[in-house]
Amino acid sequence: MSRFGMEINVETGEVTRVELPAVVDEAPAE
Amino acid sequence: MGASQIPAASTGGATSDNYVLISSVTPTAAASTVSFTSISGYRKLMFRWLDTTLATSGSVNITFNSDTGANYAYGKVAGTSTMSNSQTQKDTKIALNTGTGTSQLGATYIIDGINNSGPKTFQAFGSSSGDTNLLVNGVYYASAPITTATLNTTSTFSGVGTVALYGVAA
Repeated sequence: MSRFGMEINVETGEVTRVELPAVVDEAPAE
Repeated sequence: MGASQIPAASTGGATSDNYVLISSVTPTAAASTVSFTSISGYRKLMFRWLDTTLATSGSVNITFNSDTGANYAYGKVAGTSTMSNSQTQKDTKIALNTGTGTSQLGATYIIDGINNSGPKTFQAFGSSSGDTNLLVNGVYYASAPITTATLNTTSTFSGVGTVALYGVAA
Protein backbone atom coordinates (compact mmCIF):
# COMPACT_ATOMS: atom_id res chain seq x y z
CA MET A 1 0.00 0.00 0.00
CA SER A 2 1.43 3.36 -0.92
CA ARG A 3 1.93 5.86 1.84
CA PHE A 4 2.25 9.58 1.56
CA GLY A 5 2.85 12.58 3.74
CA MET A 6 2.28 16.30 3.61
CA GLU A 7 5.18 18.68 3.66
CA ILE A 8 4.83 22.32 4.60
CA ASN A 9 7.62 24.70 3.66
CA VAL A 10 7.36 27.27 6.44
CA GLU A 11 9.29 29.87 4.47
CA THR A 12 7.06 29.84 1.40
CA GLY A 13 3.88 28.33 2.84
CA GLU A 14 3.87 25.81 0.03
CA VAL A 15 2.22 22.46 0.87
CA THR A 16 3.27 19.44 -1.14
CA ARG A 17 2.48 15.74 -1.13
CA VAL A 18 5.47 13.43 -0.72
CA GLU A 19 5.56 9.70 -1.30
CA LEU A 20 6.82 7.62 1.65
CA PRO A 21 8.46 4.22 1.94
CA ALA A 22 5.91 1.44 2.43
CA VAL A 23 7.55 0.09 5.58
CA VAL A 24 6.16 1.29 8.91
CA ASP A 25 8.82 1.56 11.59
CA GLU A 26 6.81 -0.10 14.32
CA ALA A 27 9.28 -1.02 17.05
CA PRO A 28 9.43 -4.68 18.08
CA ALA A 29 8.22 -5.60 21.54
CA GLU A 30 10.88 -5.12 24.18
CA MET B 1 -3.42 43.67 43.25
CA GLY B 2 -4.50 46.57 41.12
CA ALA B 3 -4.50 46.52 37.38
CA SER B 4 -1.63 48.99 37.33
CA GLN B 5 0.61 46.34 38.87
CA ILE B 6 0.19 43.90 36.02
CA PRO B 7 3.39 43.89 33.95
CA ALA B 8 3.08 45.13 30.42
CA ALA B 9 3.25 42.47 27.74
CA SER B 10 6.67 42.04 26.22
CA THR B 11 7.09 43.45 22.75
CA GLY B 12 9.51 40.69 21.86
CA GLY B 13 13.06 41.00 20.66
CA ALA B 14 16.19 38.94 20.35
CA THR B 15 16.24 37.94 24.01
CA SER B 16 12.51 37.39 24.50
CA ASP B 17 10.80 34.04 24.91
CA ASN B 18 7.77 35.00 22.90
CA TYR B 19 6.50 32.17 20.77
CA VAL B 20 5.08 33.10 17.39
CA LEU B 21 3.04 30.88 15.10
CA ILE B 22 5.22 29.62 12.26
CA SER B 23 2.67 27.41 10.53
CA SER B 24 -0.59 25.59 11.22
CA VAL B 25 -2.34 22.94 9.13
CA THR B 26 -5.06 20.30 9.23
CA PRO B 27 -3.49 16.96 8.33
CA THR B 28 -4.55 15.75 4.91
CA ALA B 29 -6.85 12.73 5.12
CA ALA B 30 -4.95 9.46 4.55
CA ALA B 31 -1.54 11.12 5.02
CA SER B 32 0.93 9.39 7.36
CA THR B 33 3.18 12.35 8.12
CA VAL B 34 2.97 16.10 8.63
CA SER B 35 6.37 17.66 8.09
CA PHE B 36 7.39 21.29 8.57
CA THR B 37 10.48 22.09 6.51
CA SER B 38 12.87 25.03 5.96
CA ILE B 39 12.79 26.02 9.63
CA SER B 40 15.42 28.67 10.30
CA GLY B 41 15.92 31.75 12.44
CA TYR B 42 14.58 30.18 15.63
CA ARG B 43 16.22 28.93 18.80
CA LYS B 44 13.19 27.20 20.35
CA LEU B 45 10.28 25.32 18.86
CA MET B 46 6.88 24.38 20.22
CA PHE B 47 5.21 21.62 18.24
CA ARG B 48 1.50 21.22 19.02
CA TRP B 49 -1.39 19.18 17.77
CA LEU B 50 -4.99 19.19 18.86
CA ASP B 51 -8.05 17.06 18.09
CA THR B 52 -6.29 15.01 15.43
CA THR B 53 -7.63 11.50 14.88
CA LEU B 54 -6.34 8.46 13.05
CA ALA B 55 -8.18 6.35 10.51
CA THR B 56 -7.29 3.16 12.36
CA SER B 57 -5.75 2.41 15.71
CA GLY B 58 -2.13 3.49 15.74
CA SER B 59 0.52 5.52 17.48
CA VAL B 60 2.26 8.78 16.68
CA ASN B 61 5.82 9.97 17.07
CA ILE B 62 8.12 12.84 16.20
CA THR B 63 11.38 12.96 14.28
CA PHE B 64 13.69 15.85 13.41
CA ASN B 65 15.57 16.49 10.18
CA SER B 66 14.15 13.22 8.77
CA ASP B 67 16.60 11.51 11.14
CA THR B 68 15.55 7.92 11.89
CA GLY B 69 18.85 6.96 13.49
CA ALA B 70 19.01 5.89 17.13
CA ASN B 71 19.57 9.46 18.32
CA TYR B 72 16.60 10.05 20.59
CA ALA B 73 16.86 9.40 24.34
CA TYR B 74 13.99 10.07 26.70
CA GLY B 75 12.12 9.15 29.82
CA LYS B 76 8.38 8.80 29.77
CA VAL B 77 5.56 8.56 32.26
CA ALA B 78 2.34 7.49 30.60
CA GLY B 79 -0.87 5.62 31.15
CA THR B 80 -4.60 5.79 31.53
CA SER B 81 -5.83 4.18 34.70
CA THR B 82 -2.31 3.27 35.81
CA MET B 83 0.77 5.32 35.08
CA SER B 84 3.99 3.58 34.19
CA ASN B 85 7.43 4.93 33.53
CA SER B 86 10.05 3.91 31.03
CA GLN B 87 13.39 5.03 29.69
CA THR B 88 14.57 4.77 26.12
CA GLN B 89 18.22 5.52 25.49
CA LYS B 90 18.49 4.97 21.75
CA ASP B 91 15.20 5.27 19.95
CA THR B 92 14.75 6.19 16.31
CA LYS B 93 11.97 8.64 17.17
CA ILE B 94 10.26 10.32 20.09
CA ALA B 95 7.31 8.05 20.74
CA LEU B 96 4.16 9.70 22.00
CA ASN B 97 1.85 7.00 23.28
CA THR B 98 2.66 3.57 24.58
CA GLY B 99 -0.84 2.39 23.87
CA THR B 100 -2.66 2.82 20.61
CA GLY B 101 -5.95 4.35 19.60
CA THR B 102 -7.57 6.50 16.97
CA SER B 103 -7.91 9.68 19.00
CA GLN B 104 -4.82 11.80 19.45
CA LEU B 105 -6.43 14.43 21.64
CA GLY B 106 -3.46 16.69 21.80
CA ALA B 107 0.14 17.16 22.78
CA THR B 108 2.72 19.89 23.14
CA TYR B 109 6.41 19.39 22.53
CA ILE B 110 8.91 22.10 23.45
CA ILE B 111 12.37 21.76 21.92
CA ASP B 112 15.24 23.99 23.06
CA GLY B 113 18.49 24.93 21.38
CA ILE B 114 17.36 23.96 17.91
CA ASN B 115 19.90 26.26 16.23
CA ASN B 116 22.83 24.99 18.30
CA SER B 117 25.47 22.58 17.04
CA GLY B 118 24.88 20.19 19.96
CA PRO B 119 22.20 18.07 21.65
CA LYS B 120 18.70 19.50 21.78
CA THR B 121 16.50 18.97 24.81
CA PHE B 122 12.76 18.45 24.68
CA GLN B 123 9.83 18.23 27.06
CA ALA B 124 6.33 17.10 26.22
CA PHE B 125 2.91 16.57 27.68
CA GLY B 126 -0.18 15.24 26.01
CA SER B 127 -3.18 12.99 25.94
CA SER B 128 -4.56 10.36 23.57
CA SER B 129 -6.88 7.40 23.59
CA GLY B 130 -3.74 5.30 23.96
CA ASP B 131 -2.45 7.21 26.96
CA THR B 132 -4.74 9.59 28.78
CA ASN B 133 -1.73 11.08 30.51
CA LEU B 134 1.69 11.52 29.03
CA LEU B 135 4.87 13.24 30.15
CA VAL B 136 8.13 12.96 28.24
CA ASN B 137 11.52 14.62 28.48
CA GLY B 138 14.77 13.83 26.80
CA VAL B 139 17.53 14.71 24.40
CA TYR B 140 17.93 14.60 20.65
CA TYR B 141 21.59 13.85 19.98
CA ALA B 142 22.48 15.67 16.80
CA SER B 143 24.95 18.35 15.85
CA ALA B 144 22.98 19.86 12.98
CA PRO B 145 20.42 22.56 13.73
CA ILE B 146 16.81 21.42 13.40
CA THR B 147 15.35 22.55 10.09
CA THR B 148 12.59 19.94 9.75
CA ALA B 149 10.12 18.66 12.34
CA THR B 150 7.81 15.76 11.46
CA LEU B 151 4.77 14.22 13.11
CA ASN B 152 4.52 10.57 12.01
CA THR B 153 1.81 8.00 12.54
CA THR B 154 1.82 4.24 12.06
CA SER B 155 -1.75 4.68 10.77
CA THR B 156 -3.04 7.59 8.69
CA PHE B 157 -4.59 10.88 9.71
CA SER B 158 -8.33 11.37 9.31
CA GLY B 159 -8.20 14.91 7.98
CA VAL B 160 -9.33 16.65 11.15
CA GLY B 161 -7.67 18.64 13.90
CA THR B 162 -4.74 20.99 13.85
CA VAL B 163 -0.98 20.56 13.79
CA ALA B 164 0.94 23.75 14.53
CA LEU B 165 4.51 24.87 14.89
CA TYR B 166 5.57 27.87 16.98
CA GLY B 167 9.02 29.32 17.44
CA VAL B 168 11.10 31.76 19.45
CA ALA B 169 13.32 33.91 17.28
CA ALA B 170 17.05 33.34 17.49
